[in-house]
Amino acid sequence: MTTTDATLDKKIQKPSAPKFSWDTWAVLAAFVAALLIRFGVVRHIPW
Amino acid sequence: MSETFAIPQIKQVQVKQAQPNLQFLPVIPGILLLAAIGYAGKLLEQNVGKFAKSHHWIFPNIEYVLWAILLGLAISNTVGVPAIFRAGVATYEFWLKVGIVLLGARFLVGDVLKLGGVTLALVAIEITGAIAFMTLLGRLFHLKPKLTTLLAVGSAVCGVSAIIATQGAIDADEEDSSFAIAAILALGVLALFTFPLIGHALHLGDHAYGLWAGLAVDNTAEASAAGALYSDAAGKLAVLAKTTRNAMIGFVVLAYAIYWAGQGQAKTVKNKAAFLWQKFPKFVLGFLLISVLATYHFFSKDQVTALANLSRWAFLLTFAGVGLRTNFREMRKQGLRPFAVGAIGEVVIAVFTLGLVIGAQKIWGW
Repeated sequence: MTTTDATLDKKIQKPSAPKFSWDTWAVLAAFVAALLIRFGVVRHIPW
Repeated sequence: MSETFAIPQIKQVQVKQAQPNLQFLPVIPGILLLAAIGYAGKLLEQNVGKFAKSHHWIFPNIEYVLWAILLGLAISNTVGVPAIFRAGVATYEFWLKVGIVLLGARFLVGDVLKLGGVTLALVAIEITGAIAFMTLLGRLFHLKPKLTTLLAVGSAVCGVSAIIATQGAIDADEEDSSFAIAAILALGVLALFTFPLIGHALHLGDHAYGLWAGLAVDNTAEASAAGALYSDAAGKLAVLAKTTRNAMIGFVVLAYAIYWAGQGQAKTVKNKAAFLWQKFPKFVLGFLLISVLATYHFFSKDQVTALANLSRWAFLLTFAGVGLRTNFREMRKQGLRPFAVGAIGEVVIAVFTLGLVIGAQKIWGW
């Protein structure tokens, strides 16, 4: 295996960052919004 | 459920295990379209009634939910949804889940446990009955066994998301999934218009109607909309009942995966706990956590109101998306037999769950 191949191989084997599902993103977005409201960054949501 | 995402038009529902795309730019036009249609629905609700009254016309009070769906349906079935908007329109399920998590602020844990206990019992009966009946119906109509499985899961548990999750787990054909999805979506739209009428005709209370919509309507977006069309309280209950059904998805899909692996027609599930976690809808946990926080006064009264309003806005985008992703022409192309099986199954399940809810109403005196 050449150096380039080894580097490439390493790159391929490098674990990728965990991918969140839409479901998880939705939960995160809802919690960020809830915290913004809780700590007064957003004070009022009209309807 | 957690790995999947329903897409706007049936033709495109080719059961891709879509991963979230964090390139936000392509989704912006579609999100703006959802917001514009939703807001137009809200304005129409406020102004059409006033206008009709001022001109002495008799006009029914149509809620923003129905306006948003109708506007979406009109666009989708006339000019169609232009390609630039489709990625953003497909985010309607994301907004649905955001809305459900935030709705948790309006439920105290005690209510969730009390209602959840009754709902869980009804859901267990509904899932067992629906799967048994749909399996029988599929055999009677000589549908392919895996298509029957997909229809059974779709009508018993969780609509489109359940079908997509099951398709991957049992190695079903993409074509079968498209058939099953088309049938479930078409019937969901029918339920939107018929359920409130039946509920009013039977003088069902908000509690009973909400539970019924959550138990009988398959797709979460349609179940939430069918509940909200009746009343705000019914909408809350419909979401709770549907969320309880959604929580069961992993168990049902796992059971089917094991069955089909036993038949040598699907991969063996090695790690059952990991499988269950992967299929478990995470927004159910988010909903429960927000509910716990609200119960222990993490939010003030005004903040709970703000969270509830934000939840309504998220649902508004969802309801616009329900209309926009429904294209009757595409649905017709999917064929009649799966639709007939789905339709017969849905009518029977609707009557069965209505009986369950009326029985429970008598026992608990709602």
